[in-house]
Amino acid sequence: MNDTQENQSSNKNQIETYLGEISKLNNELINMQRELSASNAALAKALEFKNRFIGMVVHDLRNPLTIISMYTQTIKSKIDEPKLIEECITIIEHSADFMAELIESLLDTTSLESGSFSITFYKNNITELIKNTLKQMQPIAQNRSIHIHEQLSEIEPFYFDAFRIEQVITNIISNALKYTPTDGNVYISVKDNSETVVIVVKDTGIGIPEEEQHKTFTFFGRTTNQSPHGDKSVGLGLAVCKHIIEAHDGTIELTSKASEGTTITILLPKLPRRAMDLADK
Amino acid sequence: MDDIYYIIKSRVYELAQYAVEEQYKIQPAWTSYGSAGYIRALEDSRYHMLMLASSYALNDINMLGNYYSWLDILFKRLKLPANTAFDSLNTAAEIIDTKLRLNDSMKNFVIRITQNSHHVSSESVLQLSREAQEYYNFITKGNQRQAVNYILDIYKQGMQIIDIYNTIFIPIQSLIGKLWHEGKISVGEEHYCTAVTQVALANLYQFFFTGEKKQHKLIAAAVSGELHELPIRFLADVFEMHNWNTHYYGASTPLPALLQAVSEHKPNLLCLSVTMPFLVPELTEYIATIKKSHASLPIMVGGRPFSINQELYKAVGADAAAETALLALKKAEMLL
Repeated sequence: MNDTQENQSSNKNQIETYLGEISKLNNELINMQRELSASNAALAKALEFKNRFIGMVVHDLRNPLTIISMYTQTIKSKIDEPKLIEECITIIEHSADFMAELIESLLDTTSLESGSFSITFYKNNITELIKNTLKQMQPIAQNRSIHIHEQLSEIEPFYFDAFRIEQVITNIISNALKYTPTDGNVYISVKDNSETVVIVVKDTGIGIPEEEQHKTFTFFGRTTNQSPHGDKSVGLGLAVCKHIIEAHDGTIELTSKASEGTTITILLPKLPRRAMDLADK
Repeated sequence: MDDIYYIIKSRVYELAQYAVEEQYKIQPAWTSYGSAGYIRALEDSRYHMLMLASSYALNDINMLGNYYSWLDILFKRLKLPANTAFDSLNTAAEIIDTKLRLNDSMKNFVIRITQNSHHVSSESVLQLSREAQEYYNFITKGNQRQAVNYILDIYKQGMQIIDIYNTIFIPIQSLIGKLWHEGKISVGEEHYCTAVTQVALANLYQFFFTGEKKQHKLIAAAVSGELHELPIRFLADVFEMHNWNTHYYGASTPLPALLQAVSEHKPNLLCLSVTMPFLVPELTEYIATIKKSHASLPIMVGGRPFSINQELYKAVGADAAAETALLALKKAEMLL
C-alpha cells in the first residue's frame, strides 16, 4: 500500500468515526424530540384539565356562596324569628359542608394531576377499618332511617394504605346514604378470596340510569340523579376512589339499575406489586 | 456468567494486539494495508475476542456460528483472502488459550463452528410494500424532506402509525443493514438512511403522544456499548401507542442511570435490547444488578442474540424475550 492509499484509508477511518459521532448526536436529538412531544402532549392535557377544573370550581362554589349570602340576608332581616333563623343556619351549614367537601376533593384531584398523590403500603386490618368507618357513618344512616347491614369476615392483615382505603370506603358508603331513600338498606360485605379481598357495597337507592353510568368514575362526571335527602355531589369522589384502588393494583366496578339500587365491587390484591419488595424484606 | 468472559473483557486490548501481530506474522500480506489497516484489524480482533468470550461463557456455538457466517460474507465482500474470517477467529482463540492457559478449549470451541451450518441471509430480497418502496426511493436518492413528507402524507391519508412502522420503517431498516453488509451501500449511506428514518419518526411523535395517564409504565433501553437504538425505539413507540407510558433511554444506557430511572419511575416492565451478541454478558450483569433491588420488576429482552437462541433469555436472567414489538406487547400482558 503506497502513501496515497494509506492516507485514503486513514481518512476513511476518520470519516467513519465522525459519522458515528454524528449518529450519536442525531440519536440524542431524536430522543429530545420524543421527550418534547411527550411533554407537549402532557402540557396540552394539563391545560385542558385546568381550564375545565377552574370552570367547574367557579360554578360549584358560586351556588353555595349565593345560598350563604341569601340566607345571611334573611337572618339579618328576620332577627326576631328564631325558628326561621335555625332553618337558615342549617342551610348555611349544609352549604359550608358542601364547600369543605368540594375543597377536599379538589385537593385530591390536583395532587392526582400533579403526580404528588402518594400511596404508602403497610400491613393493615381491612375488617377493623371497615367497622370503624361504619361506626362513623352510623349517625347519618340513623338520621335518615337507613339500615346498614354488615357481613364482615375476619381477614389476616395485608398490605394497603389505610388512610386512602378508608377514604374510598367512606366515599362509597356516603354515596349510598346520599342516594338511598328513607327506610332503605345498605349492605356491606368483605370476604377473603385467596389472593384478593372482595369488598361489596350494595344499596337499595335510586340507581343510576344506564346511559349515565360511564360518567361515574370520571372527574366531574356527574349524573342527573338528585339525592332524595337534598345532598349535592361534587363529582370527584369516585374518580379519586378509582385512582386509589388502581394504585393498589385493584379494580373497582359499578353495576346499577335505575330505581333498584347500585352495587360497587372492589377487588384488592393482598400483595400489590408495589408492596412486593416490602414483603420480600 | 462465566468468569472467563470478564477476564477476556478486561484484557481485550492486550489480547487483540497479540492476535493481530500473530496474524500479520502468518500472513505478511496484511502489512500492505498500512497503519489504517492495522488499526481496523485491531478493532476487528477486539470484536472477535468479545464474541468468543461471550459465546464460550454461554456455551452457545450458534451465536458464534452466526457471527462467523456474517463475518465471512463481510470479508469476502471486502475481497480479503479466503478463510480470513475463520483464520482470524482461530488466531484470536489461540491467543486466548495461550495467554490464559486454557489448554486449547477456546480453539476447540471455534472448530465446532465448522461442524454446523450457520445460515445468515446474504441476499437483500426483502419484499417491500408499495409505500416502503416509495420511501426507499426517496431516502436512497438523498431526498430527506420528500421522504419525511411522504410519511406524513400517508399518515394523513389514513395509514395507521403502527402500520407505517411495520410495513415501512422496520423492513427498510432491515434492508439498509443488509445492503451495507453486502457492500451495496457505504457506511455513510447507511447512517444517512437511518437518520432520515429517525427524523420521520420525530415528525410522527406529535400524533401518538396523547398526554393521558395510561395504565402501565415501561422503561426501554439498550445496554452500555450497544449503539443500535432503532429496534428498542420502535418497541418503546409501539408500547406508547398501546396504552403504556414509556420512558425511552436509548442507545448505550449506563447501568447506574438505568437503576436510577427504575427507582424514579417505578415501571411495570423493563425492556432491554442487545443487537451485538458480545454484549449479552453485559446484559446479564444489568439484569442481575437490577433484580437485586427490584426483584418483582419483570424484565424482557430482545435483539439478534435472542432470535438466534430462543432460550437464551433464561440464561441471562430475564423473564421473557420477544422478537418483535407487537410480540413483546402480548408477552407483557402475560407478565403483568
